[in-house]
Amino acid sequence: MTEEALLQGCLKNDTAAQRELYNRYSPKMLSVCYRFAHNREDAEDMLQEGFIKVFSQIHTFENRGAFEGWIRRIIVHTCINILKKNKKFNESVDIIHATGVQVREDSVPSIIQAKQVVECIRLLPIGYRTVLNLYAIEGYSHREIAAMLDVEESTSRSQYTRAKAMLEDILVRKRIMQKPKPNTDWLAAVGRR
Amino acid sequence: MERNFKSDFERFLKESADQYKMYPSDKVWKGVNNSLHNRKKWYGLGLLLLLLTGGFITTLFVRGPKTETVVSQNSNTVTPSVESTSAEQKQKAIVKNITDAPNYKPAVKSGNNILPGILSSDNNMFASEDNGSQNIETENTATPNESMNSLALVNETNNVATTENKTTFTSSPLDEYVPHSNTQKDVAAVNENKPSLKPNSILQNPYTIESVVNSFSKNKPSFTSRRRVELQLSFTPTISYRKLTANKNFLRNATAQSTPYNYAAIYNSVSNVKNVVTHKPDMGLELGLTAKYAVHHNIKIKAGMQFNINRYDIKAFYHPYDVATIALNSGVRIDSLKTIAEYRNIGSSSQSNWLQNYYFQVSMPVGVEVLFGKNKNVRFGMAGTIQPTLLLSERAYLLSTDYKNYTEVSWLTRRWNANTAFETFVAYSTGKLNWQIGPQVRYQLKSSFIDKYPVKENLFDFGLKVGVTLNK
Repeated sequence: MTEEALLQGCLKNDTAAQRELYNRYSPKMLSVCYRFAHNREDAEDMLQEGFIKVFSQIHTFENRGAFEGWIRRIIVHTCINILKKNKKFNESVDIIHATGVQVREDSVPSIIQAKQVVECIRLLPIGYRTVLNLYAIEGYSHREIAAMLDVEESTSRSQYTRAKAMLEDILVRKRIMQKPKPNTDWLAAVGRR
Repeated sequence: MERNFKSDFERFLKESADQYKMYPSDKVWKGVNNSLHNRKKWYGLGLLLLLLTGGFITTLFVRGPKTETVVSQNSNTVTPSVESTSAEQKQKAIVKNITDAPNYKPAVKSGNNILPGILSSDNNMFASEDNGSQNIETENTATPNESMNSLALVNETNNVATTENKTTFTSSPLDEYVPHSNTQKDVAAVNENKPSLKPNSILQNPYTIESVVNSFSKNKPSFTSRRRVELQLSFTPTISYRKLTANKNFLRNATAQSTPYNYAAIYNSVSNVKNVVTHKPDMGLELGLTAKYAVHHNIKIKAGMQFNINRYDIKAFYHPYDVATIALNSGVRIDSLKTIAEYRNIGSSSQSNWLQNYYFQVSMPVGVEVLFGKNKNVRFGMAGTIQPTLLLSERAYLLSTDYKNYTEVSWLTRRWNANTAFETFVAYSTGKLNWQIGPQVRYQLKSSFIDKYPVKENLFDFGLKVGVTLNK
């Protein structure tokens, strides 16, 4: 079924079209939620609520840009709203001086690099993790992040700097990458060049 | 948002994250599907609940009056009367009537026989005289029918036939009182063996079915009319709308606070809310089941259950990723709530959209109905009700304090509310069915939102109500 046919079916509230759309995009969207959530159960709750919003607001999609990107934005906003509603985010984003993360050598099993990286991201404190997800992976600007998280733009920048440094340390300790030197070529550091 | 990543590290992170996929469990899709398609289930459940409640209310009201037969002390006839007093009080009244009779003699047990006589509520057997035994049998607690049967048994076996059942002598219509077919013969047979009954006003007319029926038709007993309870099913398509006003408590509290809020802006913004919002009415629905109890020929008390759907549309413009700020009156201070909004109140026409707010409620209307006119087939009526209301489901887009954005904050919606309704109608009877049709207006007394929110919204709707009652 083409994307246009899926859209038309979903606009008519057709269950088969909704199921097809869900099957097509849910795997990637669940990984998005997993990076924001505390655990898989929370991630699935975010995914469920996000897709409910997708289907209820699908009539507002104006065919500007990719449909997947439109879904992804709704999912990300849903994750942020849930974190804020549960007040789990506010408790950690104000922690300016987060303590170092103790990484157990056996906490991340031997898996492909993509999952290793995601698991390392999830080891970060929730505030650092959220800012890093939004800036480095989802592509939001610090100004947009500040508005979403109800913080100052400078706070978003400082949180991202600390998150990036902490993630580097985790990736090195997990031997996913070598310790980067100043102005290093990251792709060479992770063995891709 | 889709910007060029300046850092290879960021590109590395994004590529790694995009490569990673996870497959959700089945319960996620079930939750999504149920949420999207659960309205029909809610309606079905609501209708079932409505019918069960209506049936329960009807069962409470439809308990027929108790009728009873008492024996008059001055008459040989039976005067039926309808009373609602307890069986025990009736028994006492009956016994008193009989014991006050001039020729009353208590029951006499002679040997193993019980002499026949007048049956009282406690089923003591009375006889006028007995030359023999002085024993008084007071333990016979058989019902009237059983006592008559016991006469037959006495005649046949010459033994006392007693039962250990307590007298129930509860109300029973006259036509249920059917003495034993051999009663008269048994009475005669017993009378042959025992001293004849001393004639008295009561005993001259034994308690036979003919005397009872004849006296009933002659005396034309004064029944009080049995009150009827009607059950009406109603359907009302409506036009739903809302009235927006400023929350005065919020304004008073805002002006009294010494916090760095712009009171003038808040005051002006809240009090002018209805001028900056574009909204229009939408179709709604009401489905109800009502029990009506006639307290008078023209007045009925009504109570029941109904389901209402209220909807209206708001003009908005799609503009995601805005941060909407809603000022809230917490009683002690003015707080603010920030949330992500996807719609603006003002925007370009290319992005305009109509957002639909809806409220799905269940109510228990209680009120009075008045009928006019004497024509049995066509009458004019009016009714008014007060309706405690529970909000079952809703989708409400709320306006931010600066009027710029619309956002959903479900916990700001009030769950319990109250409505009033007024209707006029024409009642028409087609024989088996009674129809009522006429306009109805319904108004929500309290705001849809809790007192913290600076804007008050009162829903109201107009509709054409059609009701049908089964004419028994």
